[in-house]
Parts: sequence; C-alpha cells; structure tokens
Amino acid sequence: MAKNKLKFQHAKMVSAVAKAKSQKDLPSLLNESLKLLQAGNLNLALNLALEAFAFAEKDTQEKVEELLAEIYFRLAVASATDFSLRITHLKEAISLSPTQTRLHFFLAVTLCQIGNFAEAVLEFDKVATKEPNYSNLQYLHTLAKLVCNQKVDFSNLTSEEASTLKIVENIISDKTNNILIDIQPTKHEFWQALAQMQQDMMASPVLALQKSLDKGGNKKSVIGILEYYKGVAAMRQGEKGAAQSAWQKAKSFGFAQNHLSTNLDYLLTEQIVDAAKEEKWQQVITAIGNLPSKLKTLDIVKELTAFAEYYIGHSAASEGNWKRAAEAWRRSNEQDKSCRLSQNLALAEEAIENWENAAEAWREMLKRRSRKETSDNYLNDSQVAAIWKRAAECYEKEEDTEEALTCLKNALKYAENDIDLRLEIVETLMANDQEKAAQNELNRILAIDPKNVTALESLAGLLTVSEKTDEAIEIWRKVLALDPDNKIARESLSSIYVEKSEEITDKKKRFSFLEKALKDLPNDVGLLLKLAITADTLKKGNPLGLLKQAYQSAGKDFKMVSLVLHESLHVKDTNEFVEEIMLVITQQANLPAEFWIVQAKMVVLCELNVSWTRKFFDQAIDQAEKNKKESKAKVLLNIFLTLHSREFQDVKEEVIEKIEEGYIDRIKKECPQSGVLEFIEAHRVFHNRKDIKSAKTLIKEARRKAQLANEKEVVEETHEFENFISRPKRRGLFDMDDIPLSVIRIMEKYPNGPPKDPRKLSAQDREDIEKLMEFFQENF
Amino acid sequence: MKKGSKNKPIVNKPKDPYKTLELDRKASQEQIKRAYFQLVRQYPPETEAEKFQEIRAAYEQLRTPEKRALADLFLLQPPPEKPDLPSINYDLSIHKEDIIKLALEVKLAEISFQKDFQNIKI
Repeated sequence: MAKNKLKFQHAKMVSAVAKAKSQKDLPSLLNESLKLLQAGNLNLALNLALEAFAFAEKDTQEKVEELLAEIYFRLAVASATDFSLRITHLKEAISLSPTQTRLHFFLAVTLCQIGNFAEAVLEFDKVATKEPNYSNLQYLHTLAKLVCNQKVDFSNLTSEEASTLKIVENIISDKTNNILIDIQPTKHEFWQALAQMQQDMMASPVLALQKSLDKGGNKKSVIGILEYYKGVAAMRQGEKGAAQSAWQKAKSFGFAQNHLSTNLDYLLTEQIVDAAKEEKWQQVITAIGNLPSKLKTLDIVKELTAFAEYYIGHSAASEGNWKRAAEAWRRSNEQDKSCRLSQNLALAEEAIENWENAAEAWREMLKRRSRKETSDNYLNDSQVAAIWKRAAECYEKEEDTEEALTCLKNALKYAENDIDLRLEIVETLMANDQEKAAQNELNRILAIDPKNVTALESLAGLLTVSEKTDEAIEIWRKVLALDPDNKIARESLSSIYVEKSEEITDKKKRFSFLEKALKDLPNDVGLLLKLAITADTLKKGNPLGLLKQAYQSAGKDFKMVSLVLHESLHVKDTNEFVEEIMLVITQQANLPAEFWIVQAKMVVLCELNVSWTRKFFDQAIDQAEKNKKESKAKVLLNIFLTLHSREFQDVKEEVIEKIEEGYIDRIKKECPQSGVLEFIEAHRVFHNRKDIKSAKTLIKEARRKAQLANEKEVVEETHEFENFISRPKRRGLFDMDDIPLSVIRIMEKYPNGPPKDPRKLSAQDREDIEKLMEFFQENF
Repeated sequence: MKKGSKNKPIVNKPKDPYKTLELDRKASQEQIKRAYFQLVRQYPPETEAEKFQEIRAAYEQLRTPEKRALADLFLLQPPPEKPDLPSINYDLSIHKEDIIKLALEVKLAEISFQKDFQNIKI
C-alpha cells in the first residue's frame, strides 16, 4: 500500500512540475523544489530550483537564490570526504548568498581539512568580521593562524581550547621548553602525552594514549592518529610487537601517512636483520619469502638473501649434502657475483656430477676474478690454467671433447711450457680423431723438451698408425736410447720389424733384415721366432737354436712362451722341442683348458699338421681333469663349438671331420647325461637345417639334462645359444656412430678379410680383429 | 660434439689438507710446517703408515705458497664476512601534520553542520 502511495505521490509531483514548467509557474516550481529539499532529495531539488532561477523575475530572484544557497549548503554537508566537491558547492552557495556566515565558516573548515590553512584564515576572517562569537570560530581560526605562523591571541578561547592550542603551538613550532608541563591537562590526556613525546624523544606514554583510546567516542581519524603514536611510544620502549599491533590498527582506521608505511616496512626488514644477526639463515630466507614484493627489491634484502643462501649452502656442504648446497648456491648466485661463490658452486656441481654446470661455474669463476694483483680475487697464471684444466675435465666427464679441448687450449695461454697440459691436449685431440693436430702438438712439446719420453711414445704410436713406419722406427729408437727398458717401445719396434720383414719377399733379404733388426732388439722373442722360420725355409743357420734362444728370452712370460710353442710348429723337426715346451706349460699353475683349445685352433688356422690339433684338444681335456674345477663335458662342447665356429668356415670339411672324429664318441661314453649331445644336435639342426623350432626344443632338453648333471657351464652355454637363435636378425644399415673405430680401422686395413695366419698380424691387429668378430656376432 | 666415454676420475679431490693438518685456512707457511712436523712425530710412518701418508699428502699440497694457491682453488671456500647489518632507524618523531590534523579533527568531532540547516519559506 505504502509503495503504491509513494508512486502516486511521485506521479502527482511530476505532473505538477511539468505543468508548472509549461506555465512558468514559479511558486509551484519553488514549492516542489522545497518539498524535495525537505525530503532530502537534494539533486532533484537543485534541478528544479535552477529551472526556476532561469525565469525568475527581479522580485522573486532573491527567494530563489536563498533556496539555491540552502540546497548547495546541504549538498556540501552531504559530500562527506569529497572535499573538492564540497568546496565547489560552498563556493556556489556563497556566490548566491555571500552574506551567510555559516557558508564561509564551513568553507574555511573544509580548506583546513585539505591543508589550505592560508585560504582558510581568510575565510575565518570574514566570519569573524560578521559574527565574532560564531560557535567554535575562535578555536579553529586560531589553529589556522598557528599553522600559518600568524600572531594569535588565546584570550578569547576557553581554557580547555587555549591549553590544547598552546600545546599544538609548541609542537608545531618545535619549542622544547617546559611550558608544557605547566599546562593543565585538557579533557583529552593525549595532548599532554604527545607534548611529552615531542619534548623528549625517549618519552613513551603508551598508557596515557591507551587511556584516551579506551575512553571511546573518538572519530575514526582521531583513533588512527592516536594508535599510530601509541605504536611510536611502544617502539620507543623497544616493544616491537605492541608497536606493530598499534600501527596495524592505525592503518585499519584510515591513517595513511608515509611514516606509517615506512615504519611497517622497517618492522618486516628488521625481522630479517635480527635473524641474520643471530645467524638464523633459514629464518632469514623464510622472512624474506613473506615480504611484500616491493621490499624484496631493496638492496639490503637482496644482499641478505644471497648471503643467507651462501651460509645455508656452506653448512649443507660441510655436512656432505652437496645437492642442497648446490641448490642454495645457485639461488645465491643470482645476486652474489663473487669469485668464491662460483668456486663453491663448481665444487658442489662436481660433487653431484652435474658436469656441464660445474664446468660453467668454473668458467664463471674465471670471469669474476679480479685483474688487480692486490685483490683477494686475483688469480695468477698457474691458477687460471688450473681452473681451465678443471673445466676441461668436467666437459670430458660429459663426453664433450670439443668444449674440453677449448678449455685446455685456454689453459695453455696461461701455461705455455706446461708439458703435462700439452700432453693432455694431445690425448684429447686423439680422442677427437684429430691425429694431425695431435702430431703438431707433439712436435711442439718435443721442441720444448726433446727428451720427453711420453711425447716420443705418442708420436711414434701416431706414426705407426699412419703407416709411416720408417719415421716411427726412428722415434722408437730415440725412446729406447733414452729408456732402454721401455717395454712399449720394444714391443712396438719388434712388431714393426716383423711386419716389415713380411713385406720382404726375398727370403735371403728378409733373413738379413731380421738379423739387423735383432741388433736393435737383441733377444727379441718375436724377431727370433721370425728369424728361425726364415732360416728354416732357407735351410740356413740353426733354426732350432734360434727357437731355443727365443724360448729362453721368453723366460716366465707365459704369453711369450705360448707364442714360442706355436711358432715352433712352423719349423721342421721341432716335435721334441715342442713336447718339451708343452711339458713346461702344463706345469703352469691354474692353466685353463681353454689355453690348449686356442693352441689347437691356431694350428688349424695356420694349416699346420692337424695331429697337433688333436694333441692340443686332448691336452685340453686332460687339463680340465687335472684342474678338477673345470668340466670335461664343457671342454668337449668347446672343442665341438670351436670346430664349427665362423673362423673355421673356410677349413675343408674332411679336415674338420678328421679332427672331430672320436670326440663325439668320447662324449657318448664319458659324459652322456651332460646335455652336450643334445646341445650338439640342436647346433646341427639350427645351422644345417635352419630349423629354429627343433633347435629350441633340443637346447631346452640339453639344459634340462645339464641341470640334472650339475653341469653349470653347459647350462650357461645353452642359455647363450638359445638367446642367439631366438634374437631377431638385424636388418638395414648401421648407424656409423655405432661401429667402434677399431672395427672400422681393421676393415679398412684388410678389405678382403684379415690373413689367416695369426703371425702375420700385429698385436693391435689381433686385438681389433677380436673386437670385429665380437661386433659381428652381436649384430648378426 | 660428443665422443666416446671417458671415466677419468676428477683429480684434486683429496681431503681438505688444512683439516688434516688441523690448521686454519689463514695459517702461515711457518705454521703449516710446524703443524706437519708435530703430526709426523705423533703419527710416525713405522706405526701409523696410513695416517702418515695422509699427513704427508696434505703437507705436499700446502708446502709452498705456489702449491697452496693451487690447492686452495679446489677447496670449499668459507662464507665471506657478514655484511654490515644496518640498524633500522624507525621514524619515532611527532609529525606536525598529524598534530594539526588531530587538533582539527578533535574540534570537528564537536561540530554538527546539520544544525545550521535553515528552514526556507517561499
């Protein structure tokens, strides 16, 4: 009902206004405006009054202006804290009714509120002229004058007001006399408290200020100011918590002065500084994390962050927690650009095997070093070189030989005569397949130190690989001149001489060449054996005597003794001598049966008398029985597998059959339940019939039997064979990076396959051929 | 470019020689020498071979200023001296503008401008 009534009244008013406007009915318009004013609808009231003002006649204009001034005054009062709008309204009102004291008074007050006390004084002056006793005028007028540093008279004020303003006067004029103490307390105790605080920087009247606040009845703006100074008083007593609480309250009551936000920021910063003073570094980091972002960019905060992280890292590293240390130092590194931090970071990255990071930290350390000799961060040339070397080591760990090489070359700039460093560069160049550069570097080393055996060895090795054998021989000779017992030089030179001798087709010339070579390497086993064989073919000299000399030179070198054994088989009428060596070899402790299988294999490959093959195989079986730890069944299986290996694929079948004859019977007779027979059958089924399925069945049966017979080695072989026949055949091209360099080298050297006679191969070639065989077995 | 694997151990990763010789990082060469001989007497090679080797290796690293400078490069560096921590100077003064505002606001709390509204008669 009430709503409808209101709607009805509004409609009635709109209609009346429209009518009044159309008829220029001024009294009606004014009446409606007045009604709106009384109802508090100031803006509508203003609109109507302004309409009326537009067609008001001279006799009615005064009345309209009176109404408009009232509306503007009330709008000013309603404009609350929008001081600019309030001033606009009041100035409008004054322009319409300049004689109204209240308008000037209110304008003066508003000017005070925006801090324009000079203009405020002028407005108060106008009020004072018209109405000297205007309520509250004296106090505010005096206050404005005080602020403008004008002469004031306290006599017209109440004693309360006078006391207050005297205190204000003292505070704002920085007077520090005792007059304040004589002033009687006003009804607001806080004035006395604030006066004390102004006079004495140590005064901290927290209680007095609190009492004023407890009384209540204060405006929000007053509470804000009092809370702030209560905080100041508390801080003067060192009560940070109380200060913080009071300042937070002040802020919530709208106190927004810069000194409040500065002090609040200081409180937060001080928490960090205090924690740092007590060396509570984790607390420092936590407190910094809680700071508002604007404070995080302060220099002191950034410096403390880096410092705290440095300490946290150091403490973690000291406890062996390098991961944590590295994490802390990485953070510290964002701010701290010191040389020693990079150094620690590099050590931590190394400890957690972040090699690339470590190398970069070392490089960073070098960038950060001081170039002034007097500085703590100065590094001398040796130190700089050492750091570059270290960075190189880190890159090598990461297998980045290119970066490693760059670092080593940088190191060299600071240690030109460091031979070890140059040798390291050579090693890295060789690992990087830069043989020519390596050779140049070796020549530079030898220019500095012509007697450097390591450099000579490396150079000779490089020349040998490059097939510059004559140059290599010269270098090896130099090595031997400096170090007569140098084993590498002796073996390499021997190997080169043997190879070169094989290139000489004229046997007499070969004989002379070997005799000459033996002058360089007297008693060299390889050369003696080669000479014995050559002498044998020439029917010249005493081949057996040479073999015996070689045997003596081999001494206890088992590898050499076995070489003498084999090479002796190439010489006629040496059976007795070979038997003699065999006897010595069989006395060798822990000699594996495999040794004799290898010897037997070499006899076949060199197309020697096959009766020796059988003899060596028999010796292998005897050796297994003698050793006890080895299984006869396994040796018999090995004999079979050897005879059917790829190495024997070019050997005539009847030769194989002749050798093999009897061993299958021995298996049937001596170890029928070992699973070896089934293994052999599986092997035949797979290789001859390509019947993988049957081969798998048979190999499983072989394993079952071997397990029952406790033939562990045979069981292992069955697994290996099963894996071999089960693996998918590799198809397509290789990625060249997958092929070992040694394999590539040997394939390039012997494009039609290596010579069958192992004696025609150097030790390196033999080793590389083995790798090649392994590679093909793994991949096909 | 990455090439074949290298498993060379990182050199120079021994124990802190200063710790072994029970010395401060700032020890003089003379102090190093003295500490070494003292420890060697305490751990003679005949009876304390392992410890002696450790002491000897530590001394070798610090024996000359040149060697020491190189050894120091690969040792954990202590944190620097703490920076001068600033004392926080709070603003604990009385601000004139606050006092003036307080004097004004206290009085304004007593004043009501509504009471100055006038009754207009048309």
